[in-house]
Amino acid sequence: MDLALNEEELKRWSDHIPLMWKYTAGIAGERFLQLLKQGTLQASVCKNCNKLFLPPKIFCKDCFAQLNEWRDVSPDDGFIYSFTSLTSGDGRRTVVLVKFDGVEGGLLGFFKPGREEPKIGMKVRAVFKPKQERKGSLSDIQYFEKI
Amino acid sequence: MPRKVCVIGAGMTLFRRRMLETPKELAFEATRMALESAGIERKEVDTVVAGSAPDAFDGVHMKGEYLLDGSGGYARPYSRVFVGGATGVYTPIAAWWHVASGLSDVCLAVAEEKMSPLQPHPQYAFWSIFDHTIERPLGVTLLWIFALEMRRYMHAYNIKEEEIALVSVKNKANALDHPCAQLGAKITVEDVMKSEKMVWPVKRLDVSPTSDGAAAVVLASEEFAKRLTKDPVYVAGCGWNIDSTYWTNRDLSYPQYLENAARMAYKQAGIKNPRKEIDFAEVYDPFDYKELHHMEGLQFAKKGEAPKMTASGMTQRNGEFPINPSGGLLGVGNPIAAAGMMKVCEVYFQLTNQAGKRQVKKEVHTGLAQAWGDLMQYSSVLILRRN
Repeated sequence: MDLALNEEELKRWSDHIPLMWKYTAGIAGERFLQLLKQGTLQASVCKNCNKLFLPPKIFCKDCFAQLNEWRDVSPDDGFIYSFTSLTSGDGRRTVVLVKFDGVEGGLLGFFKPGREEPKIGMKVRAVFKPKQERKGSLSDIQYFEKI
Repeated sequence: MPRKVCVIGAGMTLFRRRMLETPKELAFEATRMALESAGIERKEVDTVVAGSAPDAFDGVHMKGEYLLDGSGGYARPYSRVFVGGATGVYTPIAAWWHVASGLSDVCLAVAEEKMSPLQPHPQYAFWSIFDHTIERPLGVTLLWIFALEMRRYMHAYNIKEEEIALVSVKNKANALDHPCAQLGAKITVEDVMKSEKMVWPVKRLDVSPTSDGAAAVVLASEEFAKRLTKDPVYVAGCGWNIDSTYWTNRDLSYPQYLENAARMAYKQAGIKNPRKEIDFAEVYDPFDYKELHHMEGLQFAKKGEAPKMTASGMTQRNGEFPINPSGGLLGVGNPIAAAGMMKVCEVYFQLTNQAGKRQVKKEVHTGLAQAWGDLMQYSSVLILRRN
């Protein structure tokens, strides 16, 4: 039997892997997101290593202690660690990685749209969405703006 | 010559259908317990091996790098191993060679699985493990091929469903004494027979549940272990082996690949008569017939004779040859990789008299843990021994 060598005649088909997921935020994540909904930021504290983690974790990756203590981090104490601009899609958006003094980690978010240009090291504050629009998610921070 | 390797600690989380903890947090809890059980800190850990089955369960691609912080792998030589359902026993084997080779004095082995995120059911992860040309168009699921295997096993040795159901009855009862167990229960053979038919002859109570959980053990060189105890638990032997992906070409009534893996481990451990020289075993039991199948592959019983051994009561926790004193996957639960590691933990707990209400009646020195996976083709075997 002659096999078809014509590409049009070769068998091929589409299929998909039908997977969906329902995630949990976890022990640290649940608390972090509930606090975000209230318009506050908290880091978890490792007393052994004298470190604060934001986003918070229930353990210290260095000394492996279980972390039960949390401390407020002021939304006004951020600075831009790095930034980039998204130019595709519906207009230009600026993504910032914001860090906080004395805190390990950082938050990814958007810079306030407008004429202000971000700069590395710029002091910024996290601006939360109006209370009724918050869902307990990272997007409860509407944007970061220059102080 | 490889160095002598010891197990110095073990820990595990609750096994539950759905846990709040993230996969990383589950791994942390088990790892922390294992370190506490060993009485050491993370700073004393040289290397880390994590084991987890398909990324599709937790819903995080590259699960190895995702799990590393919770597994204690940060800033260490760290790797993830993955051999499907056999991962949980293969992970400490991989940790063994880290220590046996002289590469490290202390190696952590951590296994985690969070199956609950996958919707509508974790079994959906298995649709895509089959050949896309020959098998997937038929809509084949894992339950089909297990049903075919169970049916062939029953046919080859004239085994009745009721004889197989005894395994489920035993394991679920054993699990009543396990503080982490998900499905401990007092049930009867009749309950199993009357439970919902899934894919005949597989019924609801023949099958282990889907679960979230993590488990971990700490391995160390003999020299390190002897600083902690005069009487450590040694890794006496390990083996692993894989059959063809063409599952249709195999003898479904007998797991030859397991026999190969077991013989590799027995050779290392100097075991000639496994039934006499091994005191108890944690045999992989995602389905009740698999415990029997695996007992034969492990040379504990002749082909087709594991059901008789089970019916005689010999494999009960207080019997002559306890099989799955933990309660197994049928009773404790089946968070894939973590379930295999749970078996390694149980062997360690039994050998160190830490199994509490589950402690087997007779004195034990040598125990075996086994897991099975990939496309029902892989087996991993670990033998622990305490003088």
